[in-house]
Amino acid sequence: MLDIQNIDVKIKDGDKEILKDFSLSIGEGEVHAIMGPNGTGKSTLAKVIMGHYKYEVTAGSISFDSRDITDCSVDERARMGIFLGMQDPTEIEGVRNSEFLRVALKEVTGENVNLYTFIKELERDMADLKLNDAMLHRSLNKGFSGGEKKKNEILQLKVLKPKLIILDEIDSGLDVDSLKIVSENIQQYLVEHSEASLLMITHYPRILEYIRPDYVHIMQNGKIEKTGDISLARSVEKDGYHSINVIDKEDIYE
Amino acid sequence: MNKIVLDKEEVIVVDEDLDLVVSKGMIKEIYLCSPSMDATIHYEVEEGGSLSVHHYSINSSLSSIVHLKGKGASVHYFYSTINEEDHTFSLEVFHDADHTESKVISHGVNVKEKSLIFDINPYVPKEKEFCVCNQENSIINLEDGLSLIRPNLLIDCYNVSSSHSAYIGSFRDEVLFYLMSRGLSKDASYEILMKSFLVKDILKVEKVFPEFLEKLKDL
Repeated sequence: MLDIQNIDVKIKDGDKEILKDFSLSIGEGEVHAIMGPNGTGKSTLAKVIMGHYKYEVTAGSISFDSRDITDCSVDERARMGIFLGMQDPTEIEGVRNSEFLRVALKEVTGENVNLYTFIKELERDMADLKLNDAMLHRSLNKGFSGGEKKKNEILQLKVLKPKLIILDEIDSGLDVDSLKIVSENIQQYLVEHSEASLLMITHYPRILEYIRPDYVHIMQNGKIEKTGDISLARSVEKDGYHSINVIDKEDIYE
Repeated sequence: MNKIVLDKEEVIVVDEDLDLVVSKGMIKEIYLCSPSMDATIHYEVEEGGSLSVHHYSINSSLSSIVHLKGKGASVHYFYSTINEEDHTFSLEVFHDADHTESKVISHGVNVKEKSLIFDINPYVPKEKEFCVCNQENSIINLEDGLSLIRPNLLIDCYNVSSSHSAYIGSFRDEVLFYLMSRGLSKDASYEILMKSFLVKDILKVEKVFPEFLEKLKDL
């Protein structure tokens, strides 16, 4: 589904290279997690897949569903089925949440949205996420708590039904109960859409206990240094990232 | 000049100079339409009165002068304009009594390489205490227009709560990225941003005059 081949990425109008010869393949229905110390390029990777304006891919390619999307615009990628749940969702004053969701759904599906069906589904999705209806009438992410922002990202995911979900630290800022609710909703989505793939970026293995990854990657210095399964995440939690440098060079699997 | 004593929520077309009065203790909400017409509007809000103004204009130079005449009088002024020529919006708010409150939000879209000026001046004299005066002003330039905001606070008194802000530029890249990452094209993103920027209360969009909404669609 997603095939990143040997990309180099730098900040536009700058020299700083953030990803170097980075490669990653995600197959249909697979769940991948990326962990790594701060500043290793995890969030940059998520943004680059989405086509963020600040970054430039100077070498290599990104393909999605066998189509080279390296030069595609952000909205094209989204309409193809890529969704980025952001670490710090942008607040947009004046744009009502419900209006935004309706327009986004129309743009993604290319069809007029049946208002009755839309509202009914939205009500169900909001109930699943234990979100208050009043949120729909507020400005997009404006004045939302950290937990509400993250839940709102998952609400968008449930409405837009993407094929590839990228979640950039969706677990940060969530209390224990909210983390459970968010995780259950992601899990439920993956069950209902078995072809959908997930790439999670996280610092903490806790979310990985709720949503079991098929692969855990440890990223350092703009590259994947190690790949394993959930046991790799657990060993990082126990011994820290420095431990992976002394772990056996072969991949770790439970 | 027409003198109008406001007695309900109403829509007023500004096609000449106006004099509007909110009587003691009354709460009023008005929608003003200024379609390509220069004018001066005087407001008086008496003791305990409250006035909300939703003022929409196209290509107009307008001068609004508000007197908060009695204790506890307040005005919330939302000004929204689409500009294609050289125009100025000037607003003066006189806090003539203690405990008066003004909140001004002025939003403009400067469509062409023309001049759009917001000149916002609240006055709080030395002896008028416990007043609140806040203002927030933004102009979105679609081309290289000559936009200017003067977000003044002319305050002589210590016991005042106030704030002011001014922004001239385009919509933030981060905002466009967020909308586009949900599948909205650049045009659709601009459309939704323009609408939210220029129409304060989308639930009352029917109160905004049709020419303004038509113009908004064409941006």
